[in-house]
Amino acid sequence: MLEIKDVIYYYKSQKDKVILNHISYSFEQGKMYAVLGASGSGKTTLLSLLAGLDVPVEGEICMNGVNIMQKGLNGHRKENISLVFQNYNLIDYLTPVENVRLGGKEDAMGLLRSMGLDETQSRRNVMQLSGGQQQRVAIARALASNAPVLLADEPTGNLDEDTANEIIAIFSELAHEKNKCVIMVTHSKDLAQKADVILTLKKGSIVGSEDTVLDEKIRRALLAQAEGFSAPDDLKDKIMQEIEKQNN
Amino acid sequence: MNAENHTFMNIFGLSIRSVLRKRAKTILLMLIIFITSVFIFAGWACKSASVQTQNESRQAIGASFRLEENEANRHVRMDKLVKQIGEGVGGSAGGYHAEQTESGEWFTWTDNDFETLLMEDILKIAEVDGIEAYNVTTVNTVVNPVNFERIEDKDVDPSSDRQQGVSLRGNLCMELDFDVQKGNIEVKEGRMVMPEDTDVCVISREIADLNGLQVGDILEFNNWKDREASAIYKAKIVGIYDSISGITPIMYGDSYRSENIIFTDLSFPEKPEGNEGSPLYQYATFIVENVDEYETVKERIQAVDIGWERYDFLDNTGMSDTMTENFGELEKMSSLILILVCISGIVIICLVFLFWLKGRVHEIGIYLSLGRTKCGIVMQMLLEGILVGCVAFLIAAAASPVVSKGVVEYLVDYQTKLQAEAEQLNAGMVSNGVIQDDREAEIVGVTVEISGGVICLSGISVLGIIMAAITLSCISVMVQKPKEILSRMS
Repeated sequence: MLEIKDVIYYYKSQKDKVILNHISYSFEQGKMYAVLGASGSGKTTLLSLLAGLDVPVEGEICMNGVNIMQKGLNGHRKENISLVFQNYNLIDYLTPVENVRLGGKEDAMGLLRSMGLDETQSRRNVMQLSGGQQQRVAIARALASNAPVLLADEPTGNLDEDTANEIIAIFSELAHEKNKCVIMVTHSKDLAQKADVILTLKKGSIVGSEDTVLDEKIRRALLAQAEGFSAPDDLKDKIMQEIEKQNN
Repeated sequence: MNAENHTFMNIFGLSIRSVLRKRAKTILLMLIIFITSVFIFAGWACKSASVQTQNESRQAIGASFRLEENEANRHVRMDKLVKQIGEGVGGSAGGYHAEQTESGEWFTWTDNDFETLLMEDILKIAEVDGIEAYNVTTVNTVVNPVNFERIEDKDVDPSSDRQQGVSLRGNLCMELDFDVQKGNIEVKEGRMVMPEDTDVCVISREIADLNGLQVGDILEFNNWKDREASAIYKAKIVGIYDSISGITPIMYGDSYRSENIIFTDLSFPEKPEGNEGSPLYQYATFIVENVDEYETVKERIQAVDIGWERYDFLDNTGMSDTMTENFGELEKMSSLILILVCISGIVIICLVFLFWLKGRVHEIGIYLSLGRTKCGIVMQMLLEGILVGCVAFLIAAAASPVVSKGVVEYLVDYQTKLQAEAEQLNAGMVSNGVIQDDREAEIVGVTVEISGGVICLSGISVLGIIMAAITLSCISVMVQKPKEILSRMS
């Protein structure tokens, strides 16, 4: 669905310092991705390129097989992308309802209600809400756009653990029940574990891609095999690779 | 669909909310636009007023010429006559008289023949093509009122007014007398003196009331130097005038006070003074038929073959030109005000918006992340500026008549002072105070009107300033990548 092809990115003033180095990856609908990596590893840059906020120096980013540059970056952002930020990024002179309406023409009140905000909270100034409530407003705004891809940059960075878990649960639900492609940049390995796929970036390259769903399936298959049940055909190769890895 | 398919209403709604909910910034911007608007109003009103003044001055002064005696030439002529008679010898020549008193001192004087404008010269000028009408005015001649009382100020020492009389001012055509032209007096009862009149007069309302006089009554005058024995001359009252702003006295004393000035036919004042047949014409006024041909007529007059050295012709002295130039300067100053206000307005509003934008990077980043175009964002900023500008402009429009009037009056006053300074430098060219008073009165007539045209021009100027300032300040947003703006957010 959303694909990055051999992308290179560096600042033109610092050509020797490559931020993203020949990265390729294909993101699918209905999955939640977590992008892990240390500071300066290129996570936010990757998110900016996916969002069409910047353009790669080399390589291309495609949406459903079409280079996003063809349609224009504004058009890409309008139709395909919704963004959620660590600092919520709400317009301070608007109410939650008005902020959500900025995202699209969906039923703003209904979206806020589904995010757990009542009518009174939805009508007051957005700056009077708690951090968790503001992030819910930001997510509601992202949902209002009906864009297939939701990009989240450290969405739980300013939230307590419980609220963070609630937000991640919402993302998971969006991916699995609303069939959106959720790509979340995070520092937290614990939260990343709740994603379907974890991408690890190091010095501008993807150094690991861990399919947490597949791993779970393999674990269950190995357990079943040990109990004398045969593994499903589509997992046999993976099971053999895992057994070899464990033997080594 | 996304909101970024921003309709006008969407931008309008956001602009309204931003303006209404960010009150401190709105009030600051409104104040700046208000001040700018007021000065722009003043500038345009001033420009319009200056043109009016220029036209009015041309109508009042430029469209007429005045002939007067040249003071410097008077001395030259006198020196010549002294030499003609011979030094240390008594005698008379050309209206100049020298007589030795018993004590051995020399007593010299000039009569009306020496001082007067020459009627033949006046008539030559009056015949010039383009001159519509002309008037000749005598000097204010003090005579003794025989059968009526004059107006007196009881608080003033009468000894300072040796003549103890009233002033007679003869006019060929009273309608063209400068005090009538300026509107200082109005004849509300009876009529004015006509060229064909003989032995008639127009008196002030005050004298009429004091003496119970009416139109048709006869007044008697004689020489103040010999109140008892000198010949009495009679003049019939044909009109009574009311003072609107009074006649400026040319000398101190009740004899010259406004209410005691009596207008007569041209040849009357010399009679009770004892100089019948020897008039003293102080100045002649020539009215130009077509104002647009003013310069051409002026050239024609200058080409008339008369002894010009004897006269001050108002334009020959450059006084009329100076007047026009001064008000041309006023228009230039108005333009300068407008330019300065526009530039400073653009700079100040630009700086305010730059300051605003710095605080709105966060908001701009959000809009960009939502897929709104930079043009759409700048449009919203413009709309906000225009909304605030509209309110500020309306308030400024309400305040502008007062402010504009103040500014225009200040500038006119400034120009008048400049002119007065210039006149002081050319003091020798002015023969008496009457002309100066006349000229000052022309300047008083300045009016300021906030017309529809002024409002339109001011509105366009303010709109232009707002749009220029906001567009300039938004350049910083336009040249940045969305990522750079978003990175500034964090």
